[in-house]
Amino acid sequence: MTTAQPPAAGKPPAGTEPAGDRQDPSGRAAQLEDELAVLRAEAVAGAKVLMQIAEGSPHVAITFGGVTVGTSPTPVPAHMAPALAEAAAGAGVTLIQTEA
Amino acid sequence: MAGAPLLYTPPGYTTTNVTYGIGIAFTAVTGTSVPSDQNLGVGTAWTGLGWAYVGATLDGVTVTFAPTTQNIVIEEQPTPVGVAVSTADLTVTMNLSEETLSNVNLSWGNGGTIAVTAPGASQPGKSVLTLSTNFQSMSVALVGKNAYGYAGVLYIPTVISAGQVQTAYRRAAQQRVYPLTLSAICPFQSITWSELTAIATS
Repeated sequence: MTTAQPPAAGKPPAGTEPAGDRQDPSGRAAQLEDELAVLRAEAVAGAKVLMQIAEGSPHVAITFGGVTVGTSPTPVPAHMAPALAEAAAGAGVTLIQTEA
Repeated sequence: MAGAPLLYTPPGYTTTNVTYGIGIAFTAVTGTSVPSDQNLGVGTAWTGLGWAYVGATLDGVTVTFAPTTQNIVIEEQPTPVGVAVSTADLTVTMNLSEETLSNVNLSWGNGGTIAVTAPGASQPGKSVLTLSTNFQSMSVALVGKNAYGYAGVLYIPTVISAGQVQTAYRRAAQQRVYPLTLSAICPFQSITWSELTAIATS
């Protein structure tokens, strides 16, 4: 959890430094590590595509293999897209894929 | 003249290394990243990255490592001259106590789909789990508190749920439970066990 901290004595007043410098350094570091971990995982997992439930469907969400797709474009690992679409069709739900 | 006295002085042991307590099991789509070291013990850091907490269990989580070996023997020696690892089965098992469709699907192979329909005119809200034998792999992480009082994490990048499931519907004897057996199907060297040992210096 990252929380904004008041500037320490001797530091320039707020507003004259980047927003990141005003945060608790250890919290900021943890946040950056989390973001880096996500980027690394995405690099390993490969591309993502956007999928959503087709308009007019009575369904509002469908979950398959730990991935939940709703009525708005949802990022899905590209390697899961075909299986997800097939599984959804089997459950009577039509998914559409849009450009990522 | 007698020799030096014969002593019996066993080495000391560390009682604080004797640990106990529950483990928190998370599952996620294969390839989902784990939180930063700083946040390994923070539940919301896991769920924020897409990990799902399995919730309450009947009797905790059990990790089982069951290698089988093949003795290499020679006629000239009664004891083996070598032992080769034939198989190395690693499983994480638990009895899920929270009867949700997500948990039912998880224990039944993680191959089903859960379609959600919102309530509307003449349409009750509902969720429908459609089962499938097209089992999907996933990642699993088990988070416990270690001897230092910090998080210790067993991370298995790829597992599959393929255990036998039997659920008893009883009037009062016990809650319905859904046995979950997660078997590792990834290279053994990709499995990690991380222990936090000290806070950051700054």
